[in-house]
Amino acid sequence: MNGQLIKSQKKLTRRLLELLLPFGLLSIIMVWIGLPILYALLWSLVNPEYPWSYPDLFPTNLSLFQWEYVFKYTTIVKSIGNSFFLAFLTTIACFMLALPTAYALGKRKLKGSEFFKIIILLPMVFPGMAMGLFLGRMLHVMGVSGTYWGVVIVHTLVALPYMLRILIVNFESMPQDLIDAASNLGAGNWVKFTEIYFPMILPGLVAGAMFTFITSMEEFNLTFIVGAPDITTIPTVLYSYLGENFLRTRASVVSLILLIPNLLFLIVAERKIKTEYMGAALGKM
Amino acid sequence: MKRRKFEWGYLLLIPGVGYIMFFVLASLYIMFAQSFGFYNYTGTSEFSLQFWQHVFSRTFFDDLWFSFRTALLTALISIIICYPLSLILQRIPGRKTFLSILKIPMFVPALVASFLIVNIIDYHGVINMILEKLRLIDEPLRLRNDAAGIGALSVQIWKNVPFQMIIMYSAIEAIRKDVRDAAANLGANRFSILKEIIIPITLPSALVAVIMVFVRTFNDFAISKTAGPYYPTSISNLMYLHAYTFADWNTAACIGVMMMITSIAFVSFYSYLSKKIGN
Repeated sequence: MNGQLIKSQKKLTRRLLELLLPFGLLSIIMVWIGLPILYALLWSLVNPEYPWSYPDLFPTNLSLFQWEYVFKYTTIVKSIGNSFFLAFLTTIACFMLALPTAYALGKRKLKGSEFFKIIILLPMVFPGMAMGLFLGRMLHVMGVSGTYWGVVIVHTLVALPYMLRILIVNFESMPQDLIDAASNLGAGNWVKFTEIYFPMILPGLVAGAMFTFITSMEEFNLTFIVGAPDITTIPTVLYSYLGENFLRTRASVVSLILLIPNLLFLIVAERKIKTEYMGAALGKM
Repeated sequence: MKRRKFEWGYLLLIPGVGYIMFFVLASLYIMFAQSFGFYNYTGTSEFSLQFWQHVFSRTFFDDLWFSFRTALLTALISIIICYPLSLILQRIPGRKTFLSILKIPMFVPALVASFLIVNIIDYHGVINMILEKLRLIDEPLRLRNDAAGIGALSVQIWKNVPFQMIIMYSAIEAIRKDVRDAAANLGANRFSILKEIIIPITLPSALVAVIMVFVRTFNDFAISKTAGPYYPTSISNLMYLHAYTFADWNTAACIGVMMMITSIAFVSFYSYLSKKIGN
């Protein structure tokens, strides 16, 4: 009787623990992720008429003053335009460059494919600042340093591996029998391309384009070296408000501006992008 | 004898692989050449070993040690957080939602992550205020740009935990359930299943996760520049300072070569490990 009671009590505690654990974990995660974002948001809404200082945990008055200030008096509008323009050009360049190579490596299975796949990883492991400095030197000699062309060249270099890896996985998973069936039924190369290849690479293309776009949007090291001082993007503007010249309110506004596209990307990626493409882009360096 | 047909497919590699090879090899070439005294902006360009003789200064070793220590601590602390977290997440309802929320820092750009964390660990930041209200500390701690590098370390851990999480979570998830059930049937308790099955099977993935985070953190410039100490700084920053502040590109090139060698060493270790996992 007594033993049974203890047993049922034990069971109850376990059930309670199993219920509490998710909630405990959820609150830890919310603090871990939410607190930094919440405080950035609060700092971007500080009203300079009512300064927020030491003993207050929260600001006493909120206003949009900081946002207005940043948009009115800094170069942010131009930088946002630059960032999107550069990301757009980079995505197109990456697609054009990656398509033939991904076809050759994923579908044709050339001799030495494995070796070339390792070469593709080089921009991901080359120390960013080292590549920036010495590639920047070469681009300077070529006369494209500080121009849109120069920045597009380096952004393409950094983002190309993502596009390549995703498209390679896409080509590898393409069913050969479908292509053979089309050939048997007398489809020419053009028909095969428009009716079979293109619809089948579309999901990989979308995933690759999203990764390329985001990589270009957040790329800092190379933009900072090659683009400065003429080409400013959102990350280089943010950098100027951090470090030794820390400007908290402005930095929080620019941080949030830069955070928005990435969070949108995460939401879309979670729903739409297949796990195998996510794995191709992130899983193995 | 039949002449082998030329494989035209290799031409298709030119846009993708060729582009990468051209620019990476070009910057490698310029880096090596400059480290031996060629391609100078001003003055004469001739072969010289003097830059290699002077690069190994006190500052160089301090900064190298700082980058190495930050990278190693980030990789190890993150994996210590990730392992139990991914084990717990396996058996919690709504784990998909948890994983999605946990992924957020991975998609936060490095500079933004740096600001977000610096903002809360600052001298009068919310963390210090809460600790003070709880009477755990008498006066605020200096955590941003502190000499010990806790600021940079916090940012790196915040950003890299989700990355390792995803690797570890899928590695644990991939262990077939029947293996665990079989062990349980044979009388293994939870602890011995963890010790005898889960840890040995997921160890290679854990090593890969550690090495990847190590290399990324070791090469970092932006985070340690904005959240890290003013001295010692990261090795990337030392290289940048030599190039732009001291206009001493040759020494910067020497530092770049050293960084490259370190990265290659770790990446070869990585590919060796991933081959082992493949088998």
